[in-house]
Amino acid sequence: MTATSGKSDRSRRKTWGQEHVANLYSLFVLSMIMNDGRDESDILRLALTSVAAVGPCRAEGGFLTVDELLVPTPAGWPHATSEIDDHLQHLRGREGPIPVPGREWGWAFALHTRGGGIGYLVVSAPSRPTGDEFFLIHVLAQQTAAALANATARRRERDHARELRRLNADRAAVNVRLANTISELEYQRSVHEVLSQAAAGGGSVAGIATAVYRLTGYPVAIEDRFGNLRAWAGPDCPDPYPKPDAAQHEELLQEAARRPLPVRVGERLIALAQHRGEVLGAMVLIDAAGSAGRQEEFTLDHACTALALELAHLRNIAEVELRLRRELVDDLITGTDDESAYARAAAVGHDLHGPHYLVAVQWVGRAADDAFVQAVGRAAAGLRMRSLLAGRSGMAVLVSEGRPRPEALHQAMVRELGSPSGSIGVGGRCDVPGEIPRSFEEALRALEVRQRSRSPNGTTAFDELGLYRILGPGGDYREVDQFVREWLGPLLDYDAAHHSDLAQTLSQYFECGGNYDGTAAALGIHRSTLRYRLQRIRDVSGSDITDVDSRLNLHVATRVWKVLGGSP
Amino acid sequence: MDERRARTPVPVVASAVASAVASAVASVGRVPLAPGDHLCALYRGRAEREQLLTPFIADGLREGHSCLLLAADGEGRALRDVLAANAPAVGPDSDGLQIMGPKESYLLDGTFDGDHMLDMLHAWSDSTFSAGNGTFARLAADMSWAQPLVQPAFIHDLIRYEMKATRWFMSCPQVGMCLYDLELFSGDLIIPLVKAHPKVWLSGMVVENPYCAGPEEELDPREEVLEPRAADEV
Repeated sequence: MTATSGKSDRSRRKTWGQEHVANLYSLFVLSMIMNDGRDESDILRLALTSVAAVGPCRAEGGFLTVDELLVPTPAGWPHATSEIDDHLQHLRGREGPIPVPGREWGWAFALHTRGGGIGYLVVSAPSRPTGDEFFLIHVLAQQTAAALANATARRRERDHARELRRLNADRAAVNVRLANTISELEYQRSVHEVLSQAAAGGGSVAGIATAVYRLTGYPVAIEDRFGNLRAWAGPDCPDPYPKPDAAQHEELLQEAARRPLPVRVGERLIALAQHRGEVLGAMVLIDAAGSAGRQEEFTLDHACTALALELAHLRNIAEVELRLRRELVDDLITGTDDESAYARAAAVGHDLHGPHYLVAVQWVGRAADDAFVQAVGRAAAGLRMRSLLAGRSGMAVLVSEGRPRPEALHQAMVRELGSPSGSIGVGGRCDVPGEIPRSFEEALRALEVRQRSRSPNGTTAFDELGLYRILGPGGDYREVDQFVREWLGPLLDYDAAHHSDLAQTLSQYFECGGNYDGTAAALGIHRSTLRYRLQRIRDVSGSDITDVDSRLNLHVATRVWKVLGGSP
Repeated sequence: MDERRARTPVPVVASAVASAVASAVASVGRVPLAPGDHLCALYRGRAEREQLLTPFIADGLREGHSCLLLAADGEGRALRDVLAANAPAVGPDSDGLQIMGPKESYLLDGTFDGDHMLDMLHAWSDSTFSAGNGTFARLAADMSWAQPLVQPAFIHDLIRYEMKATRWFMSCPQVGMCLYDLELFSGDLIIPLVKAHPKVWLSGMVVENPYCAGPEEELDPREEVLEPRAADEV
């Protein structure tokens, strides 16, 4: 028994030792678990649930110091009462006994770290634990405090890392923005350089279009204010270039002028070239895919500035040239020496050598302003007339190289102005500049004769005035009219009443020198018809066309009648 | 329980790492295991469990070991598929692998009875090693099923079972691994578990416990020092 008892004592001591070491070992493993990345609440929960496993104790609660207040952690632990909280406040960070209702022994283990107290682990027991049992709970509290300190450090480290990541992300974003800005500035510099080179190389409108095409890769159209193509760069230029509806185009220009950025209309990205508030033209990027972005808009905007300067420059040149032409025309009309006239005309691109004719154009209700003069210029250009043009005393004056086609010019003006109510007088031929004043006077006389005629809308050439040439300008034509009425009145009245052509037939008869065949051919009628008409003329007029005096007066009357418009 | 089996003397497991390496027949997370080892693996979450479990069983199948997997409830099929994917040469219907859920093992009668469970394990090893062909066996047990049952009396029974299981592991050429999820179990179970296992795997390390509560302590009815105390006792 003794032996057995001694063996039992040794076994009991060995078992106690093993048990104690095993408890410490289990606390060591528990410490590893506490330090495997858990947060403060998890660590305290692990400590609280372990208390009963390492001694005869019960966990009353865990408390963490947050902003100098003790916060029960984890929240909702069943024994963590407000009374315990109050007792802990009295301990002021130290550990010590604490009363727990219904328990003989209670103890608040302070959770200490290098930074000071961070909370409490409160336990209780039905009786005071042994020193070994107290020691194990104490170790558990120390390990818990260490794990909490590590968790706090890890959290701070995480916060720090998160802050670093945020700062790095911010810096990366700033770098990206900076890189974008640099890239944008470099692009803008290249735009500036290319457009500057285009300007230095002559700065033509076509040059600007080519530069924009090179910069953007999109086809570029430059249009005048009316939507007409002035220049194209890139592939697929439409032929013919579509002419926009005038009203819609004007509306579009007004809309675009109100906006600070280019306007997109279908596949066209449009920016205006404006100078002092006036639209001089438009630049259009052809972007069918709608892929043009900020860089293309910048290029368009910048190029439009260059284009506006170029168009304004061209217009200034045109205005100067126009003024020079006007002054030249004024001087030619008033008379200047031939050599000077040739030189000045050559300076504005016109060759004064060769036959020229002065043309005076006047339209009812239209002042001889720039718009009217330009309309005359377009009409003349449309007829391929090479001329000098100026406005003067309520009319436009053309110094035309070669004889103009009178009726064609009038019709062209009607198309330009939309009104037939206008008169054109064409002077006689002049072979040297010194004859221009005379031709101008003749043009004025022809214009006056036309305007005073019964058919004032049309063109009258001085060459065709016949007897009217001998009438001075500004004279009274009433006697002439009475003369015409005296000799042709019955025929004209008859023609008006019967829609016949007796006056025209008589006029043609005299112009053909009384030749029947020639007259019939000119009128496109049969010889017998002519004979019938001449008989009717004798009957209606009561005049004998074989009589020399009557024949002369009738011939003069038909000439005058023709000059005056050929109608009653 | 068979008294003869319970009284079979076995050496206390206190082998050094060096000797374990020398006689290693299996490994867990590159940590070698020796025949008779009973490892408590404390993992966090399903992903870490599969990192431990899958190679342990798949390697065993490749080595021709008999493998018994006591899976969590409803996970047997999924684990078999995972293993088949990791050990394709063996195939999902390999004879070497037996998978049982808790209702077929720990909770066969609806409640946990450690002695019945040990009888089942002994029957399995009798069957596995009866041929005497020198085969080796591996057992892995996912203990997640125990989480809803945790209370002092259950912990007492479970720890007693684990201690006896240590003796059973040492009785045959086999190794075993019990897997406990730290996200499911708290200190009240972890502390006695650590004390009851000769080896603990945690965060990639194996911590040896030469002072673990061995079968001798468990068998002495007068010694209760290793048994966890119930809350109402304290």
